[in-house]
Amino acid sequence: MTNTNKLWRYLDEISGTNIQTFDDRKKLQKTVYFLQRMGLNMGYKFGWYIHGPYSSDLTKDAFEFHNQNETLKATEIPEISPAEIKRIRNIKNFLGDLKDSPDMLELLASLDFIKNIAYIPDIEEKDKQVVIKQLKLLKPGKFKDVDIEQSWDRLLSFDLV
Amino acid sequence: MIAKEIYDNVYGFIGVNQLELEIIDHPLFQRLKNIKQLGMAYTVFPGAVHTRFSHSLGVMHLVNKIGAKLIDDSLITEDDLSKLRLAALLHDIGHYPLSHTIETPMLKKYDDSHHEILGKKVLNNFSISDILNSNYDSKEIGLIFNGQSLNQTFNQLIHSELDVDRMDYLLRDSYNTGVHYGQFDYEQILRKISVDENNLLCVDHKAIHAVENYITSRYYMYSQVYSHKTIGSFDQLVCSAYIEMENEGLVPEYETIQSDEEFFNNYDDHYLITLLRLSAKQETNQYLKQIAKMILTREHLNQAYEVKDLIDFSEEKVLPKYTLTKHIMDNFDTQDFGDIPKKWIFFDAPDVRFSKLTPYFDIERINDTIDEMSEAIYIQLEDGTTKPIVSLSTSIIKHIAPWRLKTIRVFTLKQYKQKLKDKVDQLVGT
Repeated sequence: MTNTNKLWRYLDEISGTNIQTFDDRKKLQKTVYFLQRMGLNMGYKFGWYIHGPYSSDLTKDAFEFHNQNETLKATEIPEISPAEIKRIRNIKNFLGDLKDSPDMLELLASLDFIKNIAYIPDIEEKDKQVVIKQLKLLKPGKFKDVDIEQSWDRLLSFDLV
Repeated sequence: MIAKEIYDNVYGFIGVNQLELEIIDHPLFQRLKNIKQLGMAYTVFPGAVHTRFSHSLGVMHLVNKIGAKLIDDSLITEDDLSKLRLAALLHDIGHYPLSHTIETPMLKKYDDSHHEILGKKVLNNFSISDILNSNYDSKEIGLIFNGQSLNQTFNQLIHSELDVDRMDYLLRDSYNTGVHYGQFDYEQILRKISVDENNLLCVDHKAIHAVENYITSRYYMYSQVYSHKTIGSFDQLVCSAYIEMENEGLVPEYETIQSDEEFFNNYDDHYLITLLRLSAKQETNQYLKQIAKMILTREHLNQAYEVKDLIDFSEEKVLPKYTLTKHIMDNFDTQDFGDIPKKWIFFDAPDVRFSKLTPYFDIERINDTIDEMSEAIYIQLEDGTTKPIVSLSTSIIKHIAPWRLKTIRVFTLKQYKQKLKDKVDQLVGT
């Protein structure tokens, strides 16, 4: 399905590959979600869970990769192409200072998922109001309005919504 | 209202309504009658010729049983159940010939070729959507069976450790292979199923032993049937044949598969067997010819090497021999196998587990790590709280959940068997 070593190479460039704590793994999940949304498809299928888009296969691969002998990992670092570097730069610009904030990454990913993937009954066009309303229904009181607005603007500026 | 009853060898009569009947009669669904549920398993278990068609009906039947109970408990509506039935019926609509056997090489080449993703595409783009969209939205149905609905309960019914898909295939595969390990008390589980405050599926503690039985049944079916070495060897041959056929232009690329309805309606086991028969007769590609003949005459590969380890993944310790063999497998392209042709060396690495839990599972932080626990099986205790079964000290599952049976096998032709064994032993250092 995916080249885990390559994925780790991308993540190394963006935010690191720590998976010790739940917050580390939440950051990993949302970062890979945006990696795929922004053109570096690693073949992970994201479903909708309580903290937003989540891939159980990604967690499984993360664990298996981390359990590899360190020497073995070091010998298998793949090269990345100029086109991939360009995409990584774009993703880093998009995530910006939020790359180390698991809750803000959850907010960004959730808004994106609701807008671009999810189905909302009786709604033809999912505009900003509809998406934010749905987010608040699913995660009542979890995020401040100012953070939601800023996250939407960030997604908009990178043509994700 | 029931429009027709279809007799199923596992559950007896399964009722379908008029809309479901129209879907079942559509060529896209009828195609599932020509796709074996267990791929090449019939080479070992002659009875394993049941199809994705009967499995899809079975999954719909089980979701209906759960749904009826959830409606009684006012946890879902009739309309919800109708959608769940459709999602269950259509969840395998995108399956490949011989099911996962062909999906494997497809996933290696095309990132978005998972059968559920393909299923979502064909459901939305092919003419079957006209039938669905008369009453429902095909987009919503596709999202449900991909686990992408915004409704957690929907996702869990089709995608969790206790989902209806898994329940049916265990029972059905057990019945058809004759391997009894897959039998478990599903009626008891379905009677005691509910939804907790986080909208996660849970089972009443009175059915905990039925759940434990289900989990161990699943483990044994995986170790005895799904990971059977001979079936694994045929899977390797079929994968290689398919890759060769694609290179020769005998099978189309993924772009055609997902967009050409006429082609897709015929993209089934018969299609593949026809291509194998033609491949066995042609002279242009001798490798493909030989593989095709082996598949058609049930001449399996020989196992040259095997390493097996039952590990407690929470301790993260694996036999060094397993790790080294895995390294060889992962770096196959750069390994030196002497004069053994690499095209006749095949690695298979089944991984059988009791639970999908990660080693970072932390009982103290269940609520924080709830995403990672979303696929876990929750038990509703006497006090009304719910906990994953793996965290309950009185459940045997807590003690066996961390264990995984990890195997790596290396197959080849009979004439290379001893040489390959010696070579791998040398590379591993044994």
